This record gives sequence, C-alpha cells and structure tokens, in this order.
Amino acid sequence: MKVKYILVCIAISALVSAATYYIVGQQDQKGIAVIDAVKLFNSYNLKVELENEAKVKLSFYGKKIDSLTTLLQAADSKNIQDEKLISRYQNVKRALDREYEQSNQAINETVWIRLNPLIDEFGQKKGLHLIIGANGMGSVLYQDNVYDITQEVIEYINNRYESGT
Amino acid sequence: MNQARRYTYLTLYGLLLMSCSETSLTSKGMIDYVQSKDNGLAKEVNVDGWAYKIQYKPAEYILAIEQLQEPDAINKRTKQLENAAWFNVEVSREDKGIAPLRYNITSIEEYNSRYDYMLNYAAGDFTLIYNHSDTFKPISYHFETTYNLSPTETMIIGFSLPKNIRAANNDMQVVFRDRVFSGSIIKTIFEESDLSKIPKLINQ
Repeated sequence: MKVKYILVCIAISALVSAATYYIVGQQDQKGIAVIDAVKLFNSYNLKVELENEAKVKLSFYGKKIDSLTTLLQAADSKNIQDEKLISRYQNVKRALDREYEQSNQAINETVWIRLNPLIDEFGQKKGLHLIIGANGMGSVLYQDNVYDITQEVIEYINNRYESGT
Repeated sequence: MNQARRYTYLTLYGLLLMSCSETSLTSKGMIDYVQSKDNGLAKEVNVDGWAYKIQYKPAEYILAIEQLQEPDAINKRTKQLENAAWFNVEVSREDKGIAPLRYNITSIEEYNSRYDYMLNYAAGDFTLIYNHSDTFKPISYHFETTYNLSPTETMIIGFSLPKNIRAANNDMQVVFRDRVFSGSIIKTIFEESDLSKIPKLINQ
C-alpha cells in the first residue's frame, strides 16, 4: 500500500515536471523578450556623451539668463521698468528654449539611428522573434525577469559603440 | 662532405624561410597585411548610410608605402615616425554613390561650410585614448581633397604617444565627433593583441 502511494507520488511529480518543462520550452521557442526602452536609451554611452556636450552650450544661455535676472531684480527693487533689459531677457530665454528643443531632437534622432540596427542585430544573434519595448506608457503592463533583457542589451550596445566593431 | 654541406644549406634556408614567414614581410606583404580587415588594423564603422574606415598606419607600413631604399633615409624616416600613432580616416557613403561633401547639399554655402570644416575644424574633433587612460589631441592633420573626383574624403591624422613609447603597444581608441556627415560620435579600438603581432619590414 505504501509502495503504491510512493509510486503514485513519483508519477505525479514526473508529470508536473514534464508539463513545466514543456511550457517553459514553448515560451523559449517563442523567442519573446522585453526591453525597458527608456533605461536603454538613457544608458547608451552615445546619448550620455551627446547630452554632456549639449549641456555646455545650454549652460552658456543659463548663465546669461542668471545675470539678466539679477539685473532685472535690481531694477525692480528701485521701481525701474527697464524695457530694453526685459526684451533682452525674453530674447535669451527664447534662444535657450529653442536650443534645448533642437539639441534634444538632434540627440534623439542620432541615438535612435544608431540603436535600432543594433537592437535588430542583437535579436537576430539571439534568435529572438519579437522584442517588446516597454516605455512606462502602458504598452507592457507586467513582465517578470525571465523576459527582461534590458541589461544584456545595454552591455551589448555600449560594447559595440566603444569598440566600433 | 658535399652531402653534409647540402644539408647545412637546406637547414639554413629552412630557418630563413620560417623566420620570414611569421614576423617579417616585404613591402607588398606589409601593405596587404596592414590593410587586411582580418588583422585588426583596418576598422570600419557604419552609421546611417555612412562608412568610416579607420586605418592604423604603423611605421613599417608607412616605410613600405614610401619605398625608401637608402639606409640613411630609412633611419631618418623611422626616427620621424617614432613616438606617434598615424591614421587615415576615410569617410564615404556606403554605396559610394556621391562624394560626401556633395551629399544632400542644398546650396553652395552648405558645400563651402562642409569643406571649411574638413580643412580647418575636423582636427579638433579627433581624440586618441591610449591604454584606456591617456587622452591625446592630434599633432598633425591633413585633409586630402580630391575635388569630388572620388566618392571618399580622406583625413590623415597623427597623435603623439606617451613619453618613451616608440610605437603603439597598448589598446588605442580613436574617437571622431563628426559634426558634418552623420552628426554622430565614431569610436573604434585597435587592440594590443593586434598591435603586438605587426610584422617587421624586410629591407629590400
């Protein structure tokens, strides 16, 4: 009786293992992976370097705005309405906004032009059929670590960027 | 006696062949070796339809191309090339359809601005990082203009190396911040393992 019970237990656990193996295997065969697109973009060395370069130019406008603000405050404390100064301030502020927008757009374009073929290449090398880009906007509501390859892809793209291979 | 002499000659000839086959090359062999993509001294980075070919030019390669014959001239040239790393950087469209300076331009001003950049400013956008730590700016830059007759623009760049380093023997990373063609940053590494395998040039 006891032996029969043990045999049944072994048979059930073997069935459960086989089923699990089959399901996991099926998932692997589907070759689906998820990448946190925002994290990938922000971790790409090219993006970081281009942004640092843009910061130098933007900080130039920032310093100009700071000094104009100080002058405006000084004038304001003496109840002087300096129209020329206000107009200069507005011009520099507009130039800063324009520069910020243009550099952001240029960085986005330059980075994605380099990233897209690298992601394709990674997917092909790994035999993936589908890579989903999670961007925190609701396209992927849940993922567990099994599908998340963000870190692996970050290492891949940065290695390719730095070595130029 | 004759037999013994023949064996000696054969052995010496064999040794000579072995020593030449691995570490020494003729001018033609040296040029082929350095330009081959298999030896890690010629790299290509492709970005958005642009091809950047970066060729490291060890002193032996430059001597092979210049075909100097006189030992004094060879020694003098070798001394000039010491303590520096030389590169050719070629930019072209991947399909080689049009000269880069003329690609997608909308006005002569745009062409002139690109030309001006290549002549006067591109040098400032090159950097060499030696052994992952020392950063160098070019000591020499020359833009080889072809007046749009060729679909490739070539820049010849030289960097000095750290003191007491006669020829590059550590990892070197070339960085080019291209502000005209792809607008991207191009990087490539020449590895110590490839640099240490560069053969010697046989003086002919």
